[in-house]
Amino acid sequence: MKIKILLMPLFIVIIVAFSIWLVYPAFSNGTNGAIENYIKLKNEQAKLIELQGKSENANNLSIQFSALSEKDALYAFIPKDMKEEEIINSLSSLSSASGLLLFDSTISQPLKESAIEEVQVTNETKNLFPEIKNFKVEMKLSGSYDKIKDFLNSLGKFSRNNNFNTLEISRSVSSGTEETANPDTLLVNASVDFNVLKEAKLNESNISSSIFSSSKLETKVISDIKNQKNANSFQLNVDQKGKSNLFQM
Amino acid sequence: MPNINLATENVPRGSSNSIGKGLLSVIIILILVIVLYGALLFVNSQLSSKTKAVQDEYDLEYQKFLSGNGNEIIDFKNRSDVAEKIIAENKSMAEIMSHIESSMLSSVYLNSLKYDKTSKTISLLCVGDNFQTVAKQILSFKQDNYFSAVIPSRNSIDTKNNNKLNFSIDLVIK
Repeated sequence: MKIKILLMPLFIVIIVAFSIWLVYPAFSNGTNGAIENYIKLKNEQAKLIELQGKSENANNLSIQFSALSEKDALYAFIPKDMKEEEIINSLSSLSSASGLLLFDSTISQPLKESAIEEVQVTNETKNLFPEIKNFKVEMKLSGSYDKIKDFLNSLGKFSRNNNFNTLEISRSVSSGTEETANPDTLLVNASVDFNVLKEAKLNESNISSSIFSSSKLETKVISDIKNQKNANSFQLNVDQKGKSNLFQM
Repeated sequence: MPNINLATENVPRGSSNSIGKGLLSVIIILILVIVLYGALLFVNSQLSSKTKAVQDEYDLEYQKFLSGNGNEIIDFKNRSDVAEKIIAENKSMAEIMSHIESSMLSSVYLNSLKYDKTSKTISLLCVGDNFQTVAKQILSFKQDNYFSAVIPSRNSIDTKNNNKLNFSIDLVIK
């Protein structure tokens, strides 16, 4: 009888202790209780569903991208490579088409690779994408005002993005004083910025990009480019190559 | 020792029985708590294994996504964003020239024109007939809202050029 009387409070104490010490922590302990594990599972499932959605969107976008014939306009507007030879060829073709004499041109390289990498490390962690790099093309031309205007117009509509950094148009004084100089012969000294943008790669930092949230490829920018630029691209081919005497014409 | 019973009626001897019932209830509760603990451990292990399976599937899907054709899409997106920004910022040289042309007086001509993108300034070296022409030319540029500032500077008579007036004006584009 006395033992019976003692057993009940003892069991109650055991139940309370067991509940506090083992059962409740198994239910919720802030890290790996049943509640936390359930929430974690739901979060992981949501992440997986989101990723699957993105993956499906990426496939749809890829199909649209492959079928998009006009994408070349964007890649011509800001190319992946410098393509200096195309710039020289285009400037020469545009100036001669306008009736101007192009007599000097210099293409500067963008910043040295090591310096760029340092800048990119900070920029890319911030922006998650490669940064656009500008490089200057300096040129000197001569011709009449109308031809210069025609050239500026053509260069403005040139398929590759370019932006005048500086432009100087002055009377040619080579044959006398400024006042007696022929007004039909003007000198142009210009510095034009061209740009190049390295190919962006999908990585852990930019995987959450908003583009994968939609299954429709946004191509408005291509229309904007086509409104401003024409399809001017001057083909450059190497006709003959190979020479036995390097110093002979 | 004499047996003294002060009770006036028979008292039922049920207290040991109720203690037994209470003890039974407590034992049942204890068993239920143990069962609950076991169930929680089972649910926890099930949740953990399911979470692990989902994580594994996620990793697999993630690697598949990274190695898939997302590169061209992300590059297209980045290039489009950059192009959009450039298009918005670009100033057409032909447009700038047409504004200068439309504001130039017929009695004034240029000796030189310098455009600087950084300062958004066009520096003009002009030649006119007299100071009144200079004043009119300044006013004409000011009447074009394309320019946010018209800054005249030196005006001087050029004796070598039929006493024409050389003057310079800086135009700041909006």
